[in-house]
Amino acid sequence: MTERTDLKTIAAEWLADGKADVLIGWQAGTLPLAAAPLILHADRSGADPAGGNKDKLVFDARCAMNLVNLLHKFKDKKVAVVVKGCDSRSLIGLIQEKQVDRDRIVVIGAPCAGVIDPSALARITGCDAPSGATLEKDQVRVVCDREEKVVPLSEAVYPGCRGCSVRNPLLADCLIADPVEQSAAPEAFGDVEALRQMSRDERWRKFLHEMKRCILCHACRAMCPACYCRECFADITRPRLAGRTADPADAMFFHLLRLMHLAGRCTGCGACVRACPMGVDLRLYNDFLRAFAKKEYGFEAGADAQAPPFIGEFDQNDPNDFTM
Amino acid sequence: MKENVADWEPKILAFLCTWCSYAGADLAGVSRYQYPPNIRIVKVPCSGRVNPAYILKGLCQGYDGVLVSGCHPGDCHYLTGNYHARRKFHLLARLLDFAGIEEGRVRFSWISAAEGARFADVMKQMTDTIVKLGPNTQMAKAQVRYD
Repeated sequence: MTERTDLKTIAAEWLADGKADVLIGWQAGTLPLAAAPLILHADRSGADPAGGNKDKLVFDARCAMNLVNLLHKFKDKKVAVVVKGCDSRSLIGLIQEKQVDRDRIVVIGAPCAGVIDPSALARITGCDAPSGATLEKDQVRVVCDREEKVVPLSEAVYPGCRGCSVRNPLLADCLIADPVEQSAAPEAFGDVEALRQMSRDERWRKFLHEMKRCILCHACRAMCPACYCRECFADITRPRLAGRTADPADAMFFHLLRLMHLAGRCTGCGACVRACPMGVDLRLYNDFLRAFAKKEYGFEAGADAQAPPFIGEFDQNDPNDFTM
Repeated sequence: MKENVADWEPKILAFLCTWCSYAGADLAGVSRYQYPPNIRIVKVPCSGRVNPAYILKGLCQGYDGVLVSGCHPGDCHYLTGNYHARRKFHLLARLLDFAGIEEGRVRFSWISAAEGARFADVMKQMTDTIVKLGPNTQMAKAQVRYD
């Protein structure tokens, strides 16, 4: 049974007793309904090793960012990190790839009923820059042009959060709340199936439409916990591999190759989707990878830290029907 | 450089593994099998050496088709190179299909050093497919620069 505790209490305790040197959590952001990462460094010289900033720690439906990505910055320290269900899969993926040492990490599990999607909220309320907002138990009050609008939380969350089957962390040393109800059904990948049923021409138009909008800012890569290469193929200059012109072919090259690298590794946490300034539908293509790995090879990313990697492993009886 | 569509000839990039498919191409040559002269061969040590980036880059640089060919599964000179390649290329084939890239632009085959006739046949099939599809307009960059 995982221990139940309070976020601020456990933060203070672990930073004081040396279980962690650094704690990564969330604090309220500067805009309404936004949260920003909060990094606490233990200072054991004073009376309060966790410092006064620990009172800024929050966890609620604003805390969308996947903090696991920040673990790459603290390779030599003992780190405590707050993870949601989806983030825990990213963490398992990193342990599987030996990028994170499980003995060096303490995990604070945060059961999550879904995080707020600002674009969904803007669509519902018709206002993309609310002047104020308050989060209640299952609804959001948004102030737009001095007018208050109430939106049920279930409608304001990301599409991936609605039927989520990993709301409770798969890996946690303690939980800061009681586990929440989650879908027991396996992921259906409805959007992927729908596009697969369409004609090749329609699939191409969708892909071209998405790629035309990509400005190659590489924010998806920056926020992705699985994108930890020291030198990315997109940055190689001798010789230059990936083009950086406005031609959609360059965006296609970048995204198709990034997808190849993410196969069997993307856990669908949605960090790239949230990071994209152009609203490119990256979720659809990431979901395709997950559906492919699951359907064709029975492989699921971020489920088992001991499992062999998907690409890099093979079976003599792997499908051969795609060859001439 | 953009050519006139009327005198367009398909340009096909072929990555052949040195131990099987390249030797198969050699056998096709010494056996005097006829096949279309549209392929540009890149000899690689193993089909497992072919980075999916090369295939995508080939399409971006204006090749009308890309073929990767290696030893039959189980016959790899490095024992497991083509098994690794197979899983990778299965994914790439399905991914390109999902993105709506025309069927047949990128193909994979296994050709042994003893299959000269099959090599000529695969090249004929590949060229026929590309001729039917026409020039690569989907992924080729409008202005190909060698930067």
